[in-house]
Amino acid sequence: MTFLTNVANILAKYWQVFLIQGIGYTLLLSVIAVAGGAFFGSLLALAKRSKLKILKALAAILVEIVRGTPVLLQLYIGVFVFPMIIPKLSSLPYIYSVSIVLIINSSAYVSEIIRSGIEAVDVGQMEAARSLGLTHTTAMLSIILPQAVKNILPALGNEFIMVVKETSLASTFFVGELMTAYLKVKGYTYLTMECLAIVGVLYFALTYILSKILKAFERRMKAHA
Amino acid sequence: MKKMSKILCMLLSVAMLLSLAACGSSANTAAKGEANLAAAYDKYLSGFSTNGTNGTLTVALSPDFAPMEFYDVAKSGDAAIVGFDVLLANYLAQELDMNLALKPMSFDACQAAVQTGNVDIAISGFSWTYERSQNYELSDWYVAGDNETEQSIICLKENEGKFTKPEDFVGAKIGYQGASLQQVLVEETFGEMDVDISNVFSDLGTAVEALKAKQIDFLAVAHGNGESIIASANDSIAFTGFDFEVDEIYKNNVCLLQKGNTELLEKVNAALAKALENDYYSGWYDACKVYAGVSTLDELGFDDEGNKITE
Repeated sequence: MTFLTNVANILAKYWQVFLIQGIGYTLLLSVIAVAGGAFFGSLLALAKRSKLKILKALAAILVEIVRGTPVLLQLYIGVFVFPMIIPKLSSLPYIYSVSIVLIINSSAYVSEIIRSGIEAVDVGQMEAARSLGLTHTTAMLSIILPQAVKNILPALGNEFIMVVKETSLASTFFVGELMTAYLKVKGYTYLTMECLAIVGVLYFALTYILSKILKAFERRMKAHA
Repeated sequence: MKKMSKILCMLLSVAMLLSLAACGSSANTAAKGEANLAAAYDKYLSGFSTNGTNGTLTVALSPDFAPMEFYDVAKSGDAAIVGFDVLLANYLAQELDMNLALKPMSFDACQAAVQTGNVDIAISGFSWTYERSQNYELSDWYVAGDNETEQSIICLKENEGKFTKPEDFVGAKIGYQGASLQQVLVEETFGEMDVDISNVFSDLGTAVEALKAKQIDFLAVAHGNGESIIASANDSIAFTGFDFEVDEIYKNNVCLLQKGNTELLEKVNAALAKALENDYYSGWYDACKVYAGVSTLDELGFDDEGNKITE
């Protein structure tokens, strides 16, 4: 009972920290990461399919490194090493470096999603298109990609949900998302489980609603196919 | 599918209800005169001034550690980060004639930030340790009231006062925060004895939960933090009655600077010496204790206990 009273008291006093700041920054970071990831991920996927060996190798190396190291470590590098390379970053709040890291991280995963989506389209489709006289580019754009998108979108939705949860690691640098809200409030009240419970419910609500929206979207895609 | 949307509706309405309830009661708490809690602190803070002729002093700190550094969510921006170390940072900025930029981050990250030169100085309740002195420039000591001078062990209420000598802890599990002064003290005191000291926690809050869940029997804390923890634990936690014998070098806090940054170190030490001479520290610490203590207790409905810390 004390637990629930504490939760109610915390929410009464700090609801803005959790509901407005916390959810706001979590969504902001996730949208930045996924939008940036979708853009640069497409470029990476293109690079990986490119005929230029160097470009292909560089893209492969980047993807392997990003996928093979923890996000937390990447965040530390982003916040402390990037400003040494780009001095402009050092005068900006940490959320800029954190966003860049999340975009890079998300790009690597998205590029793999796109690559597998394209490869899942039967080779015969390309062969048929080419034998009908379409150029490689036209065949890609109007035959292969429209079919690939259907494979890609659900996986991209999953990536979005993953990113929502991954942004929690950005709390190491107090950028303001939900986990930072938890740190702020429990540092003040020393009521850890209560704050965790609140943040847990909010994360679940966010991802649950998101996955429902994505499901609805997927169904519409199927209906139009 | 219908079922799903029903559940969703329920979740949403619960969230709405909660936030409505939240709106109602936050209006009540605001009427209680919150400004008074911060009054002493704000007076100290507004007493500092700087022209910023020597650029900006960037300070790393981990604001999840009342009363040394914590968030006042009623304020916004940099001003929301408050506490003893923030007053000290403002004082240093004034003495060095620099503008101040606070960089909040986790305790571990504070050290990485100093090491990489990402910030000029870390002021976050750091204690002197031999390892730190090897890898960083450490400033002279500054005094943080009894937060550091007394180091204690807390336990569940039922064991209050039963453990007073190191031998009493044989066979028990003692927890502590990693990379903290308590770790050094626990290892020095119990390292040779039959005591389980393998329980390292990344932050105090988690450690307190482990104590409540009886995963550990005891938790080593700085006395000031112990008071905050006991106050917010609704009387289920208490001091054991055991205090560590704290060596003089551990009793105070230091600031961390990048190895080799002796120029800034000298200026910081001169400012710290002046603060010590004029006895600024105790006033600052009391102001922060009122600030943190009352917010923790009164605001969250622990009125009965609240008076103890504010007096």
